[in-house]
Amino acid sequence: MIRDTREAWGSVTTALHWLMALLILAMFLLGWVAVNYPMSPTKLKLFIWHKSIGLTLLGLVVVRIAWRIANATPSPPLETSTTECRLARTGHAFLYLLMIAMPVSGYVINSTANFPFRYFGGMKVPNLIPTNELWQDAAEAAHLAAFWIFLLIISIHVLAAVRHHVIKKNNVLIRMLPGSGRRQR
Amino acid sequence: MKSNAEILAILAGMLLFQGVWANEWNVDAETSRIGFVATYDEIPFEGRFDEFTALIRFDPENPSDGSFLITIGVASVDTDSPDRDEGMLEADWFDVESHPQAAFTSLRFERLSGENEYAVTGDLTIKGITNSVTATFSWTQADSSVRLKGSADVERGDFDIGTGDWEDDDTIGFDVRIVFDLTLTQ
Repeated sequence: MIRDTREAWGSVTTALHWLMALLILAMFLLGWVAVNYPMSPTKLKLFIWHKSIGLTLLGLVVVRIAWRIANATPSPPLETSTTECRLARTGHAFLYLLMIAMPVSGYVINSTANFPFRYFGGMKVPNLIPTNELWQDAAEAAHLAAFWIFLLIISIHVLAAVRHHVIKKNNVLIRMLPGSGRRQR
Repeated sequence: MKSNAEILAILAGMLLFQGVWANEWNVDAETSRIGFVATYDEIPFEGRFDEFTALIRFDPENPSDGSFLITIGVASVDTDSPDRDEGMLEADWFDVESHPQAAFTSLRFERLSGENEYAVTGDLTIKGITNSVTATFSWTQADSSVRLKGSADVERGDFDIGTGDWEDDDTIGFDVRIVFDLTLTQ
């Protein structure tokens, strides 16, 4: 099953979810190591990977949002309270917002710092925002703040999924696993 | 009263003096630029030095008598990227603390085949290392000023620019083009 339905996530959504989850985790590590690495060609290369994957994630989140809009959304389990539903919706909205804010603030840093950048060493990415130290500082602060908020919300997201599975014993976690749509059909 | 010979000698002296000074040019700091083009991850980036002095003596009719003496305050480097500028002052790059100045002293000039085209060969000292460098330039007379514009290709390794981890050209290319565009007045 490719498309999402009122009952289950389709293969496109589950694939995007886990691919992006892996890439986001890799980005956290890569970004942290790159920032703290002493100035050297290796540091610059770590940043090229960080920026390239970040731009890829920006593309993927656009696809994901478009796919989400174009498809039905599986309903929460029947026993879920209104408050829980509201919390989940807010949490997911924040996740989407952060998936956009992280690469956008990262791009602003690169552009205002005026670092040439080629996507995975290939196509040159234009720096559309002119050099500006003030903007660069602001974008760096925003990128770091967004990172911590992202880490916090992802942790809550994971704990909530585990809670659904272990305590509430429903299919919320299971239905996001790759191939779950096929199994449920 | 001075003799005719004395008067002639004084006149000749004045003419000669004027002749020397006629070939000396003042650099308009506002519109003049000395800089370079290097590459970062194979993408060119430009830099310039905001602080420099240039003593230019040149007569296009008689280029061999010319003289360029250029001194650059290396710490004034500006590549339109504060992070990168800061890194360039470090010991692996320009080592500004030990070598705050770079200099070029001309040794000889020659006329090239193109109109108003010349070449100057001289000693370029960066980071305390001197190499012979040849720059080509054009000398274009406007109404009340002259535009002296040219370039020279150098390799950063010849001046120990980018040592240690930076010795290969993985991120910062070896080839650097020095560029200058000076507006001269008298």
